[in-house]
Amino acid sequence: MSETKNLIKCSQLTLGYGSKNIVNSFNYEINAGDYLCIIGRNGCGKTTFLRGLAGVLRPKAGKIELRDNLQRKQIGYLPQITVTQKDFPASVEEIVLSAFQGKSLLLPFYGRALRERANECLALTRTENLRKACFRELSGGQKQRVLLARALCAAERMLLLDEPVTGLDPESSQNMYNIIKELHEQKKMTIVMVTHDVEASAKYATRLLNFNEIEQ
Amino acid sequence: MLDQLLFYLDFPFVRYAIIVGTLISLCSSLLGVTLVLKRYSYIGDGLSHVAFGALAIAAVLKVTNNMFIILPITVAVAVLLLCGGKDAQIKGDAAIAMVSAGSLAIGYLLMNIFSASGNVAGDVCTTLFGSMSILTLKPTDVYLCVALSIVVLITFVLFYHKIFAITFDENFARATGVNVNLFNLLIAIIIAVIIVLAMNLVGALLVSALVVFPALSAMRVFKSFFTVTIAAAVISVVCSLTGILVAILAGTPVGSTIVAMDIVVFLVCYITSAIRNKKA
Amino acid sequence: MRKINLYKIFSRIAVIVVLCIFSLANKSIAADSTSANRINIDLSRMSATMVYSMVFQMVTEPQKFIGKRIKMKGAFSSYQDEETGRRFFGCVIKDALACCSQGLAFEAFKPRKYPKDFPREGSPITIIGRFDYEKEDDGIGFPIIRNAIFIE
Repeated sequence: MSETKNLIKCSQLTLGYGSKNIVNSFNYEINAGDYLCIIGRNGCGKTTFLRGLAGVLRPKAGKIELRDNLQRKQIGYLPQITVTQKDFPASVEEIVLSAFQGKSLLLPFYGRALRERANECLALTRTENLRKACFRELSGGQKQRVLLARALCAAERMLLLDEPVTGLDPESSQNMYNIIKELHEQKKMTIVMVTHDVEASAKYATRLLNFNEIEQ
Repeated sequence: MLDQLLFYLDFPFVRYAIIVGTLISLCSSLLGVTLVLKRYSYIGDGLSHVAFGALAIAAVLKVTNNMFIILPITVAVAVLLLCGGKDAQIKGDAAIAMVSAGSLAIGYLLMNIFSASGNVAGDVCTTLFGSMSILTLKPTDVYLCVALSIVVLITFVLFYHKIFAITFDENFARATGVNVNLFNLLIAIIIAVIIVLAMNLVGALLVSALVVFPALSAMRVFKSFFTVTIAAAVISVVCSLTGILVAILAGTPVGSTIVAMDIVVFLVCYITSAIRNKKA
Repeated sequence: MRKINLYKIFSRIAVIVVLCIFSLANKSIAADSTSANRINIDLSRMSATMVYSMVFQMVTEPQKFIGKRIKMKGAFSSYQDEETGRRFFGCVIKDALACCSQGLAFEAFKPRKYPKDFPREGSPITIIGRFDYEKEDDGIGFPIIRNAIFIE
């Protein structure tokens, strides 16, 4: 890539919970078109860093700058699935449409444009046939793909994925990797993925960030 | 039996009880789903005890309308418990246990020491188990209950999708720019209002049953958030109505009769889903 | 279980007070009391829940009920005020927990001697009388059924 545009620039970033700092004075840049994999052992701060990028966790010090006109609403986030969600009575459509709630809609219903956008995102993750299905009855891989569709609905330029293949069988994992690769190559999405899968990281990523090697 | 029912319906307080009971059960069921899914069921229980303590304080202060004391105190505690969050010194279930048992004790103590009414046992019995309270509402209570119920209903309809988004995935909602803290605050306030309202219907100790049972029943059978919410509302209203009617016809305490209805419906839903799963 | 016992102890005391039991000290017998024999409120037909709520209404808004003929069925109860030495009589409707028992005080139509002319404590009685609200000197009053006649 001849010209690399900075999309996100972290400077002296410190993140943590309560009095505990997990990421300390960290400097990093993410460029347009990156397929960045973040690896490292448990508890080293990968997920915390991603939560910081997603805007879920406010920096305790330092800052995260969005550059090149990147806006929060153009960043999609796929958090790790929670115990609550596994047993949640909701249809796939309801979950995917909930991605639009950031746009401060107060309407008790969703317009046609939003529904079409949701259907597009479902198609991109090959879950369009599950639109009316009950989320808690889906397989692990299907659940992840639905949540990825939801992230896509809220995103145009960047995806933040937190362990998207953890707990999936090899086939579902491969499926997931293929979809992400497609999004990266065809939709020109910038991908930031936290993962334990070092092998896949080496195969797909254009950049690697190893949190074990960061001096904390 | 129908004659008897029509005879009872002639009395205005019976009609008030039915109207207010329907509205309260409708409100309480709506957020039940959120409460169950967010693992907040026990907070509802704790808050009802707080409301009982507040009621005792109101009785001691001899205010004209108890609600003006109970509502602010319960809302304040709800906000502290639900929104105090990660920085709180005493965490989660311990805080709830502390607050709920504490206010129960203080409430009973105050009622015993200061109660103006001769029938302390009756007062305690009716506020804890809702034996009769819905049938002994004063006209001002009726208006207040109706008004609060309507406010809760409108708020819920208006913010239905936001509440869903936050219930399903708080982190994601935050990432997409939903003001999660604001809506958590709103949910806490609505829950407190519902608890105070529901205390009139089933009494402090049984409030969480009224909130949780319809939601759990609906979750067994229905598969989308929307259908679960509607079903919970229908179940709650039907159970409360039949509960009130059975209670006045058979002379049983209102609160526990309603909860008994809720339990029956839950069992039916549980068995239905079990059979369906076996077939599938 | 201890909780329930506590309730029972309190309720014993409470029932007596709430009953607003009253003395026999008889006033002039209204001659017209037999002319209007229609019963306005028949508590004997109502379930315990309804009786409780009805009596609650009578206590909180007595002016609405004054002059109404009331029929009720319950257990006979009597109590002597230790300060004044007056004896009060009541008709009590018990509930299972005894905490939400309700009752009304009454005043017999014809002068009777206690205990010879009255039923045994706790035995079932049915009475018909006219509702009245007796104001005490301190401003707190209580409902009472006047000119009550016993029905077998």
